[in-house]
Amino acid sequence: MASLTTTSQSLKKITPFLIFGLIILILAGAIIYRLTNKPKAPLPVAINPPEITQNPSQQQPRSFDFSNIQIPDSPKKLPVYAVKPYNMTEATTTTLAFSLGFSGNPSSVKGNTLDGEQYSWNMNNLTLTVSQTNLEYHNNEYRNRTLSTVDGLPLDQLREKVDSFIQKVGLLGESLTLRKTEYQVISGLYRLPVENFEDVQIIEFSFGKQLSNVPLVNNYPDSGFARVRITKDGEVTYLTSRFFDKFSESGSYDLKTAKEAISEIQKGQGKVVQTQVLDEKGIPSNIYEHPENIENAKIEKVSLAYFLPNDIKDSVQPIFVFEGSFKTNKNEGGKVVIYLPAIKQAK
Amino acid sequence: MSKGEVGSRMASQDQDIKKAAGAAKGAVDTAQTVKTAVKTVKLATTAAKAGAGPAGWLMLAAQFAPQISQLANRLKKIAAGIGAYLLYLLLKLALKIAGLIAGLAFGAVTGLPLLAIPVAGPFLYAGWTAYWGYRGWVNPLGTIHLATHPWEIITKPLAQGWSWGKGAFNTVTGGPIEVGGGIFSAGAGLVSAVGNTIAAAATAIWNFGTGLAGSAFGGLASGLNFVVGGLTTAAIPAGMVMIPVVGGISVITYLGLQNEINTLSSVFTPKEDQVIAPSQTGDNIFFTISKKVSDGHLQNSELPATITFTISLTAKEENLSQISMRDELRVQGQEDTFEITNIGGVPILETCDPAVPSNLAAGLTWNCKIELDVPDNENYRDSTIRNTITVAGAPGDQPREEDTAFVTVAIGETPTDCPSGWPTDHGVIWQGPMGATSHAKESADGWPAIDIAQPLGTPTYATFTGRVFSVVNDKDGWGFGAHVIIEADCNGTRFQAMWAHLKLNSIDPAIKEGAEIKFHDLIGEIDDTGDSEGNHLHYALNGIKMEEPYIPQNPKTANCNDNVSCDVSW
Repeated sequence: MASLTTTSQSLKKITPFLIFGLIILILAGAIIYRLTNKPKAPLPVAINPPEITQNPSQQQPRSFDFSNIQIPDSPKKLPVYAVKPYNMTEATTTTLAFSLGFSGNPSSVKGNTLDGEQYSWNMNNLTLTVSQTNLEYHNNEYRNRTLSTVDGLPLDQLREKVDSFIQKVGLLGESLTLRKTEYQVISGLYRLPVENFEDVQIIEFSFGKQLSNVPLVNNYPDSGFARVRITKDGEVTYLTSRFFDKFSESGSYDLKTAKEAISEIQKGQGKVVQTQVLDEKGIPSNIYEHPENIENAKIEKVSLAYFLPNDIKDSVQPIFVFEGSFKTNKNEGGKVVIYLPAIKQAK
Repeated sequence: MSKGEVGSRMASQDQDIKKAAGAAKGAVDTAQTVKTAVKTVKLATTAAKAGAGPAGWLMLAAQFAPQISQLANRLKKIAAGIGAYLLYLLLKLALKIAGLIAGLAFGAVTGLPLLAIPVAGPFLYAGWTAYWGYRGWVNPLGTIHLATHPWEIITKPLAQGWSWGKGAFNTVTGGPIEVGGGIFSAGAGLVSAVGNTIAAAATAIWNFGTGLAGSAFGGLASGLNFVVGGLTTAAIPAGMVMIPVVGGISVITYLGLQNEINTLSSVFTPKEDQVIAPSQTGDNIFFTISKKVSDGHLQNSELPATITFTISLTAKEENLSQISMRDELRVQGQEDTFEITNIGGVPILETCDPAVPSNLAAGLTWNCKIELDVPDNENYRDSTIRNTITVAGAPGDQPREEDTAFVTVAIGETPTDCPSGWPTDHGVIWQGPMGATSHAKESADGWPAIDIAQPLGTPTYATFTGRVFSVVNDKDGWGFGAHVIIEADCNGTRFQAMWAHLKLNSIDPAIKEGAEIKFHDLIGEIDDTGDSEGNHLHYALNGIKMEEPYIPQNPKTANCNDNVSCDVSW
């Protein structure tokens, strides 16, 4: 009894210290837990895949060959961007038109087009159409004369002229990079591609844009973000571009691995966005791209890109771009491009 | 150790524990503060890296969206707490004000007898009222209760006294009140009755007093209304004003809607006319030729009927000679297509009165009416009748110009799911289906096409009734630019037709994938989007041939282009 009493008294004595020590331990544990376990970022909102358009008549290739594919390192996550357009009013478009040589009010204003309010100017051979995210400029003066292929400026000077013209349109920003230069001659109502600069009447420069160092593409791989045409004697005849106020990040998403993407392509889940028949020199043999009956698509390259949707209410999402060559059942060959949404969809 | 010492020591230990807990909480707060500071430094560093542009800042902000969101949540909670506290303060203040008013009112009413005291009366009255006002401010609930139940000043102590007395008596006697009742119950009943009477009298007096005060306040409110312009009274005329205003808006809205409806009607009515009587006139430097019809649309039930076609040929600035004319009357039924060459046994043009001229003086117009009796049989039910006139002529010995005009009559449900007519009101064929510039390859790919050169913005129309297969509103569009494909079945053959190089954003909103499109519905406007140079419509067919009768007139040669004239215009 005595020892029990002593024990109980001893316990009584040390109990406050035990409780104190326990509280200290719990608090220390809580501090360590808080410091080591950062609060988890809220899960990004589920996102629909981008609306990539494949020609409805285009079938998936019958087979794929990935034996020579180059797979670069790709990030595990990438942000998605929301697009904010400018508010293009009559006043802002008039200022823009003035910088491109137009004067006065728009010759027509069309509300509620597929790209919102649209303002047009039409002056002699000059036309300008500006909607909320699209701009198109034409100078058709050259159609009144014969374009020479002999006289003209060297390519670098033509490029300088194009750059200075782009700078007049402040909306396009300064982050455009040259992606493609195409030589063309005029034949009737068409511009046909030619191989050499010596034969050229019109040069078309396509410019691209990047987001987080990833190229921005649209549904048409060759079309670029902005395109400018210039005659060989240095007159800018055409400029078309989309333009936006800003891109802002709206959540970061897990990406499929390249392996997963390849597997999906093999299952026919990609969108065939380009099937261009090329001649032996690598020049398109038809100005139009019709659906092709592809026997085999030999994919040589896969890369990441951001897909710019037509409707800017949709987000700008990363996609995989598969590029390669194809053979048809008629033994025609050409270039094929397939897009695949890159964001891993939650199961 | 005494009990007191133990208690004191325990209390001291409690204090120690509390201190330790406080210290630990402080440590957590400090750690959190350090973490936040690190984050802030990181944010500032990245901001500096992001460059000066607003886009950079926005992108930076987006990068820290989760942290910002978390911070925002915390701020929201703090704000909610502050809001709740402010609301509590506000309610407390409102209650105190209510108590103050109740106290003042109670004091003002109950202090009235004080005014009877000479000299000091008003001061006493003011002091009494102020005291109750103060009491109302300090103890609003109690004062409000008292102000609304003043008789309880008497009845409550009375009831309390009775309760105490009853308790004391029961304690002494063992509780006869509960046991016996009797005299004690009668006493209790008497006390209760007296209490109730006093309470009722007090209520009446109080109500009278408060009624007086209420009247006084009512008068005051009226005076206030008078001073500030009679807000309550003004509300009625304001309401009356709102009636015409709201009514006016409603009327305007109604009229606007009515106008919309009228506009829509006017849009649909002529379109219906266009659908039922598509036509084309011919125009060149020497003459114009047109064809009209008395009724462009007949129901099957209206058969048999007589249709009158009118040909008009006008010579322009010079006398027209070498005139030759060819008239074609073609019926396209559900099962068969046939041509009418004679009317009443006479070749069509020979029925004209006056007869077809060989010469026509400058500025004059020759008219011819052709009457066609349409019988009620299976050849004509659900059919189209197209009357085409082709005229050639020139002044003197000059090379002759040839032009065509036509008009179409629809009977019943027309078989317009085969292409018919031109896709534009006017046009010039610039390249035929085998043109070397670009169409030969297209024909080989199964898409024979013609290029129709027309100015920017020229409207294009559906040439048959079908279903929209695809719509691409894009400057590139696989080389076709903005384009539309519509498909249908023509005599059992599935085919598609394409309208390409359309103006961006010009495609009619009704043209959506899967939508049913009627003959001559608007498609979009001509431009040169895609791989085009010069405004034109690339009109292509897939599954059927690009030739008559699917187009009104074949080009002179299929391989015509900018080097070889196609020689077709309308």
